[in-house]
Formats: sequence, C-alpha cells, structure tokens
Amino acid sequence: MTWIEDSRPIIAAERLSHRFAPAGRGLHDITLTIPRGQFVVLAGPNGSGKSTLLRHFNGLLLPQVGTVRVDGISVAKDVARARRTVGMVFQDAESQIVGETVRDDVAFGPENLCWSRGMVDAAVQATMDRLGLSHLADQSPHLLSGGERRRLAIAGVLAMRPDVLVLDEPFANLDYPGIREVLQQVVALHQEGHTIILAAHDLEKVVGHAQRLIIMDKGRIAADGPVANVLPLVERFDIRMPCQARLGLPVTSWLN
Amino acid sequence: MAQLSVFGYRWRSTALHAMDARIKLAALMALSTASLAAGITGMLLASVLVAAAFHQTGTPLVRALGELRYFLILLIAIWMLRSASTPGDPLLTWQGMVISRQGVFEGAMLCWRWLLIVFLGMTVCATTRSSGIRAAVEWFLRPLPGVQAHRVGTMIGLLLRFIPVILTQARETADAQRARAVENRKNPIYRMRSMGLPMLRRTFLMADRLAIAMEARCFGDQRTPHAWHFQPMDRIALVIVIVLCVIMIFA
Ligand SMILES: Nc1ncnc2c1ncn2[C@@H]1O[C@H](COP(=O)(O)OP(=O)(O)O)[C@@H](O)[C@H]1O
Ligand SMILES: [Mg+2]
Repeated sequence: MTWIEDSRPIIAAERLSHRFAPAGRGLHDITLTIPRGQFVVLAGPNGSGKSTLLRHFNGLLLPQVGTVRVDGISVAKDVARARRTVGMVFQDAESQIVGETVRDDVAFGPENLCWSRGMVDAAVQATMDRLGLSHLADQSPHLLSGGERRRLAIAGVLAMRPDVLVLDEPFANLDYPGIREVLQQVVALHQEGHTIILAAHDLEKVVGHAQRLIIMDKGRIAADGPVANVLPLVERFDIRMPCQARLGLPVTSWLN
Repeated sequence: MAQLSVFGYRWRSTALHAMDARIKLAALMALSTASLAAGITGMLLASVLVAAAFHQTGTPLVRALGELRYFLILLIAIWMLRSASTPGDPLLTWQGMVISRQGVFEGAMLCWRWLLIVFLGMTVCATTRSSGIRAAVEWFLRPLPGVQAHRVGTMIGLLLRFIPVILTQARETADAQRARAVENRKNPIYRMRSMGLPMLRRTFLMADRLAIAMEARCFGDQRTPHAWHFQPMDRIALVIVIVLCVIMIFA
C-alpha cells in the first residue's frame, strides 16, 4: 500500500489553461506531473508564465480550464490543503515578510494554522535553528542582509512543514555569498526529502543540483526532461546556457 | 536603514520588561487620563513612579530629551502663551502684555502633564515588544462589538513592520531624483508629484504582493492566540496603578 502512496505524484496538472484578459497571455494547455522528492528547475524568459504556473500549485490562482492536483486532491476543491502542502517563496523577499521580528515572522504561518502555542514555539525554534537564523530572532527583518532575508522568507514557509517548496526566482537581487547561502539551504532541504520546484531564468547557479529541467515559452511547456537532455536546447528559448554546458562539460555546483 | 530611536524596544532584564503588556497599556491609558484631573500631589506621586519606570529602560535622560527637543520647544511655547493669555494677578507687565501668576502655574501644570504622558509612552514602547503591544490592543478591543480585533492587531503589526521599509524607499526615490537634478525644479507641486507618484506606485505594488504572500501562508480569521503570562507581579502593578489613579483624581 505504501508503494501506491509513494508513486502518487505530489503535483499533477492536466490540460491546465489560464488566460489573462485582455492580451490573452497566461498558460496554455499545460500537462505536467512532478513526483515526490524531485528537484525541478522551471526556466524561461520573463513573461513566459513561470510565476503564473507556480501560483496554480497552491491555489493562489485557480485553473480556468483543466485541473491541478496536489497529492491527489484537486487544488480548487481544497485550497487550504494545497497551501499547507505547497510552501511558496516569492521573488520579492521584502514584501512577503510580515512579522516585526524574525521570530514573529516565522511564527506567522503556524499561527494561521491555529497550532497550539507550544507547537508554534517548537516549530519556530526548530526552523530558525535549521536555517541559521536563531541569533537574529529578535532582529527587525528590515535590518537583515539580502541572503538572510531570503532565508527568512524560506523559514516562514518551512515552519508550516510543507512537502513541496516552490521558489520563484530565489536568487534575484542577491550577491554571491547570498546566492550560496540560499542555494545551500535549498539543496539541503531537497536532500531531506522535500520536493523542490525552482523558477529561474539564469540556469548556471542551480542546474548542477537539479534532476529535471522544464522550459517554458509563451505560456507553454517547450521542453521537459532530465537536465542533461534539455540543457542543449535552452538557447533556442532565449535562456543563457551555462558556460560549462556550452563546452560540453557537466555543470558543476556553485557550492564547491 | 531604520534608525534606532529612544522609542524603540530594547531588551533588558527588568521587571518592567517582563510585565504583561496589557497592564502596561492599561497603566498608560489610566495614568494619562488621571493626570488631566490631578493636582500637584497626584502629579508628584505619578512623576516619581514614571521616573522610576523610565530609569528601568536604561535610556540616558539627556538622550531622551535630545530626541524630544522639538516637542520641548513646543511645550515652552505653550507655556509662554498660556502665561500671557490667562487673566489673574500680574507677575510681570511688558508693553501691555501681562504675565499672570495663575497663567504661569496653569501653563506649567499643562506642560508637566504632557511631559508625564510622553515619558510614560516612551517607557512603555521601550520595554514592550511591538508584538506585545499589538496583542494587548487586540485584547482590549475584543469585547467591543463590531470590531474585528485580530484584523486591527494585524494592521498595527504590518504598519510597524512596513514603516521603515516605506521610509527607506522614500529616501531611495528622493536620492534617485536628486541624481537627476530635481532640485533645479523650483515648482513644489511638480516636485511633490514626481516624488509622490513613484512612491505610491511602489507602495501599492508592495501591498499587493504582501496580500498574496499572506494568503499563501494561510492568513485567515482564526489564529493561534497570543500567550499571556499574567504573574503575581502584574497583579501588584495593577493595584499600584489603580491606587495611584484614585489618589490623582481625588486628592
Ligand atoms: N494578474 C495578471 N494580469 C494580467 N496579466 C498577467 C497577470 N499576471 C501575469 N500576467 C501576464 O502573464 C504572462 C506571464 O507572466 P509570469 O507568469 O509572471 O511570467 P514569468 O514569471 O515567467 O516572468 C506575462 O505576459 C504577464 O504579463
Ligand atoms: Mg515571475
């Protein structure tokens, strides 16, 4: 029985379409399954629909046509469950941090889930320890560095114990140490069993750690497969190919 | 960057820091109200208490006064106006202006009350986490019908969180415009518009993103309530404040 449980994809989109009036841009006929525990990179130029697709995974947007299932259950039928299962880290870390202190912000999600005070405190402490934020617990988020702020955004989502972590352009506006800090955490979270879906337009930083690469173009999936197979195609879709891939080498990690 | 001010919370290990935020907020409200009715005796007693409490914040008095300099100037102006405008026994006459004994006294009392309230407020802010203040406001609003206490609480929290962000953005916008020589434009309306529009745009965009992010983190009507730790010390403090208020009003 557990075998069936495990083989059920954590996210499955079927013939999903969502058009924004008036230009009619958005998503067109997306069919996609993501198995539990996979590290997926979603690549594509600006405006290709990455953020729009990600927002369907936790019910911030609902499909106009088609369905999205999270862990087997339609997102439209149980939005709250989808939001608990799929944690979302947005592109602009500053405007998603709600708390006046680091501790308050990490507690925001668990408090919304009405956990008991003891459970909230335990989850907050564990998450801050996990992401190396404990020494900043009483800091104002405004005073954090870029990397710390992004880690706080991840912590705020992680405290709710999601199975899937969705990151929308998590490296935007980060310096080199900031990128490494965040990448390290993402890779570790994947190793601990989280499903990771990461949107990026610059592949170099992340593709060495991913198992699967999906390319989006004009609201459609243009290519999808193991990184090594898809990487040679990327320049056709206005995505810069990592230097090493261009030279025919495997892409190594930014963490070494 | 957000500047540290004497109004900001700073952690220290004192009884006042540990005190229940509801008591502190109630004391602030009660003493402020009682000070309106208080005579010299009551004010003296209250001042001793406030001075002791302020001492616990660890803020040097000089720094606090320095930060309050504009307020102090205002107070002095009010005092002088009051002295000159209240009829009574003349103390000093100069070019038709009469400074009356009653005026000097009343003005002084007025300024004393203001100063008391401000120092009390400063003490509460410096010794209470903003999450505590927020939860206390929520707690006091809860019995009122038609007020969604936890929404008000969240709004206060967001306000405190985003004031420094918006101020920083305002400074960035101003710098960017100065870099493009906006100072050559003398028309204040033009400058206000060129400053205000991008600021409004950024603020609305941020509010929009914030609302989406809060939704993604399951923000709703039910939340884990704040954990209050009402201790014997808090009860004692409450009694002291009540007794003091009674003395201030009736003595
Ligand atoms: N709320 C919206 N209203 C109208 N159009 C939108 C909205 N959100 C996104 N779009 C449009 O949908 C397209 C895809 O946007 P998005 O998913 O943000 O792309 P990406 O994240 O890949 O840069 C863009 O053309 C964008 O203008
Ligand atoms: Mg995007």
